Amino acid sequence: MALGRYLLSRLASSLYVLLGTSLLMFILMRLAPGDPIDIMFGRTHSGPGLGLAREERLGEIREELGLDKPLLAQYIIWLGRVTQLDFGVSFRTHRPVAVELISRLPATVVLAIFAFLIQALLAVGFGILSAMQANGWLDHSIRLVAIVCTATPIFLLGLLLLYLFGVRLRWVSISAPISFRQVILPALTLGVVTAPQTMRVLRASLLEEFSRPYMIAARAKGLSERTLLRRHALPNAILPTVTLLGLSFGSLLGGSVIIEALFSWPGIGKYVVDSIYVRDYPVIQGYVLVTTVFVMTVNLLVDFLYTVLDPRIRL
Amino acid sequence: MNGHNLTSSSKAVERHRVVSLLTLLDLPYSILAGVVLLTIITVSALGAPWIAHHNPTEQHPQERLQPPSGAHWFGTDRFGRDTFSRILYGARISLAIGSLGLVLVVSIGLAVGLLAGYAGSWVDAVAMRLVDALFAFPAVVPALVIVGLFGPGLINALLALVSVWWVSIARVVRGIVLQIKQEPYVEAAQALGASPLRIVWRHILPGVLGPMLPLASFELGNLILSISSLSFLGLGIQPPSPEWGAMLADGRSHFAEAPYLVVFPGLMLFLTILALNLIGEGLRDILDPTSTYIVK
Repeated sequence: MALGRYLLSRLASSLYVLLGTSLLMFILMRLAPGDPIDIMFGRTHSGPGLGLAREERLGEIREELGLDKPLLAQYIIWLGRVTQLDFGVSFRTHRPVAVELISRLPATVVLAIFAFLIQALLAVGFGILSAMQANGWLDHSIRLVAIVCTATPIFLLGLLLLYLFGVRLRWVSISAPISFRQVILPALTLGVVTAPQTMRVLRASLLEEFSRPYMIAARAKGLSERTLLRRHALPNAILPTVTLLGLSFGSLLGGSVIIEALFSWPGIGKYVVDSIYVRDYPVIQGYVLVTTVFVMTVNLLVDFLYTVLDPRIRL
Repeated sequence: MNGHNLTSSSKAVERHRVVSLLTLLDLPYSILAGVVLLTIITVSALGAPWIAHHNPTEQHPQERLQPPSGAHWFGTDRFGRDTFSRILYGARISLAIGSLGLVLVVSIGLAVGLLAGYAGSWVDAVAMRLVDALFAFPAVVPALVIVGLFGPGLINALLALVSVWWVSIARVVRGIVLQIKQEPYVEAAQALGASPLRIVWRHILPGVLGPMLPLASFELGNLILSISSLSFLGLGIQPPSPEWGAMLADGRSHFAEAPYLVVFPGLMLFLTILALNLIGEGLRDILDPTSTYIVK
């Protein structure tokens, strides 16, 4: 019962955020320089036919798209279309934006999953190791590497890996279709750069947990370090880490724009960058709304995961 | 007796002074390393016109893609421009734009955070709703959208980042204000009839600024990196201005034959962010050793 109520309230607030985002998006699109019709025609009818587009026809199209109506009415018409996944037609490819986004989604999802796995593995593994050996040489070395990784620009690491494994060792080919071998480099780059922050949070929460009285009591009972960690410290310390990993997965699903562009990964991130260069408005708008939905869904899932991980939390 | 007491207390004061000085010098190594690194980078940036031997935008086609040498310490790019000079002038752009961004972000973040935290009720509710909505995204997505709609360029990129970046500051500030608001001295000031503006300015703001220092250091590094990322994608600074991210993107196509075109600007960007992160880490350790707060 409580769960149902919670779900409803979360859905309502998600809807609110989505409405807010769409309104903001709509206002930004209208504020952007240039008339939408001119831009559309400049883009879609480029070439010799451009000058022949008659004023009359432009007026008709303006009417069709509802651009002659008051702004509020325009927004409602636009919102109606968007709820039916009609984000309009891409100026660049002349195909429906929704179709374009959906066709590129699998590549982004595959990359997000692999990057997430690498990030989680590195963060949890080294976080535990660092906390168990706190202030020892291993802890210091891990933290030093983490500081270095955090300061490394993601595109620099990507370029270096690409050079080493793509150009020098020729382990991966940059132009080959999506495969396990192809996904490793971009996923590794993303994982290595995003892991340190999560690792640090896990280390800090583990150390806090280690100092609690119940841990001292459990240690006095003669439990092994492994059992102490697995049965007591980790389950209590993992929540903030789960939050961070969840947030990170949400943003990975939105397409890692820089990495997709760098590795020519055919996901939605690269698609939106390519569209930004030619100011393909419908694509930008569709991308933002889709990303919002992803981030909100993942956040909601993380909340539910809490109840599984910590029975004290009731939704 | 009295004289003895005086002597011993003045000795104690003296000892205390020495101890304070030692504590001051006994800063964490991370801060010292960070400050030294950042000072070198800043001095080279400021002294670029005197240190650099070449004009950063002047093209010399006959000298294109030359490896590092006595004449061109970091080699030349595909237009024959001196990479060392470009990196020095690039430091000016990165540091200046990053600092300007930080000032804007901190000003907006402080204003919203102080207002929401102190005023409470509906002001807080509205401000935090906005913050939550913007916080849901990685900062680069809204920034991409704004640059996409209003066109690429350094100022657009900066404004785009600032428009979403202030939320992380506002969130932290609001949290601290909520804590300080409960302090007896704030209640005392309220009881004495001090105006809200005076309470915020004289009693709350000083308490907020301390914890903000490490955050500001991290955020400056993050801002510099994000501006470079946008420039790397071709959405920030436009050619021929030298900027590290743009230089990396430019050197990418010649990576196999001239790796120095990627390595040197990348290294400078890395060192700058490293210096700022080290300072931030050290400050955080000093101010709050148990802190685990998250920097976006």
